[in-house]
Amino acid sequence: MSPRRLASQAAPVVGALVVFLVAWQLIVSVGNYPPYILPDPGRVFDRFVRAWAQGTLEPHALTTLNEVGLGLLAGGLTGLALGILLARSRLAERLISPYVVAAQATPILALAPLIALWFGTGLGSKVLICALIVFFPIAIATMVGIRSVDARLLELARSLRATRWQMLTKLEIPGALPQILGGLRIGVTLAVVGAIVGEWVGGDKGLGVLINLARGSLFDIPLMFATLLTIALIGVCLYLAVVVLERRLVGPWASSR
Amino acid sequence: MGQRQLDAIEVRGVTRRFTIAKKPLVALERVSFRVPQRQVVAVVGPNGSGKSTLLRLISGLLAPDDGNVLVEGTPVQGPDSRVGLALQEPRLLPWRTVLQNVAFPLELAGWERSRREARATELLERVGVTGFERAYPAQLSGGLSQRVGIARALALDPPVLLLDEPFSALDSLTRDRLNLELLRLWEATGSTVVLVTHSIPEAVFLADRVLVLSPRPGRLLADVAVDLPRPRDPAAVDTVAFSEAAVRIRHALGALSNAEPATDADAPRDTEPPRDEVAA
Repeated sequence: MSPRRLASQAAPVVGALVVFLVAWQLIVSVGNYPPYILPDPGRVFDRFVRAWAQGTLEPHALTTLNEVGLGLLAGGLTGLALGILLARSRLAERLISPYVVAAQATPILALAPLIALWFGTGLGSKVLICALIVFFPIAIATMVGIRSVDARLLELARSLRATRWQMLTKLEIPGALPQILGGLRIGVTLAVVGAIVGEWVGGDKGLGVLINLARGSLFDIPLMFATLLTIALIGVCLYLAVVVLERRLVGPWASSR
Repeated sequence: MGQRQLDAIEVRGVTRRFTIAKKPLVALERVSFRVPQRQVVAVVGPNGSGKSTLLRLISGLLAPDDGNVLVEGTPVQGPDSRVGLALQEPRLLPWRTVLQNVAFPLELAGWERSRREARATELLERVGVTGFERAYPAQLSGGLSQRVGIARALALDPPVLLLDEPFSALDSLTRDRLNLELLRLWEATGSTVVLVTHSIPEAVFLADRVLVLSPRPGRLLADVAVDLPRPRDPAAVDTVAFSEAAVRIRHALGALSNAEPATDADAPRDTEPPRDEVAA
């Protein structure tokens, strides 16, 4: 991308950010809120930089990232497998999907304490919470994606004597990839939510724990905001990573339509 | 004629029924014919005459309810590697490049990468598509896509090539040119070809023999030999033999339009949507 094009694409993004920050500052100034209710953006940024420089945020952020990564992997793979199963068998869909939907409809906040009770407050239960919340969008996206693969392409593969495995790996999954990646876009952001919720319920490290600490015993509201900012940044980065992945995998053939 | 050469295709008393929207219908009824090696056979008939069904039966995508289909003397049971199939829409995989699409049958058959890419490149040259190896199907014109589809059908060097209205979606100029190229290709490969078409001139120009099917239930109405020398060139269209064959086919089709005034079987080419009664 040429510098000029990059600049022209970045300009509105930067503009929107400026508007957001100005509005935030205005609310603080006009409402005259104290920093322990709503700190202004400058103070939050300052605290953010200091917390990273002092090494306050880093261990917590790494813990959360680790949970998010493992949760995504576990939830993504089970979601993919379940989606394939649901797409292939109407019977499986009828039998399993009510439970899948019920599990998704039950707020994860309500399930998390139970999971902590059963599996402790270690890494495992956080990965499980993450995976539980991630697998649903991936499973549904995979199912819908595979079902929408052109039946005429399947007939073609059949005429070429493709095995079931070849059908899956060379036709159904590549064909469903745009939808699967759409599900992953939702999944990565939910994974962050899952990890934070898991940490909230119990644990001694992680950004969710730090939020509780900053709000409670430390009573450092700017630090709490700095933590929120870190969480948001992780979410945005993961989301962008999926977008980049999408461009590389799907872009070349989809954009040329 | 005591000595009998092994036929490339033998269709013996084939009947095929479908159930569409809960109504049973007979797509093909007791159809029998033989195709000797290296012959080009065109199948014409109005919509609903079971042309596409016939090709799917020969390719093994469908099984007959009665009768059977033999390729080179042995029965077809399920999709058959001895048969290459190119359909109305080229059905290229949109996420694969042109080269990868042509190499697809080879990949499924377990060829290793360098070998299948070399083969695909050679096939693309044969159908006159060069310089598009890395393009995606969405970037191709209709004519190019069809050529790529045919290259793919030729990938495993099948002795029998089936073409289902391969050029029907193209403009008539492109279509004429591709038909000529198809003939050259056939002369070079020497495979047996069965092609379905809506166009009588196209059928006569390409084929040694034209099979005429009736509307549903599809039955064999006529088997018209085309007495034109090979190799053929566009001038063949102006010969007496060409007109005679065309007239006989039109007669066979016309006989049924007398019996059933509702069907406009004589001029179906441009008015009909390019759809046949493919199994839903």
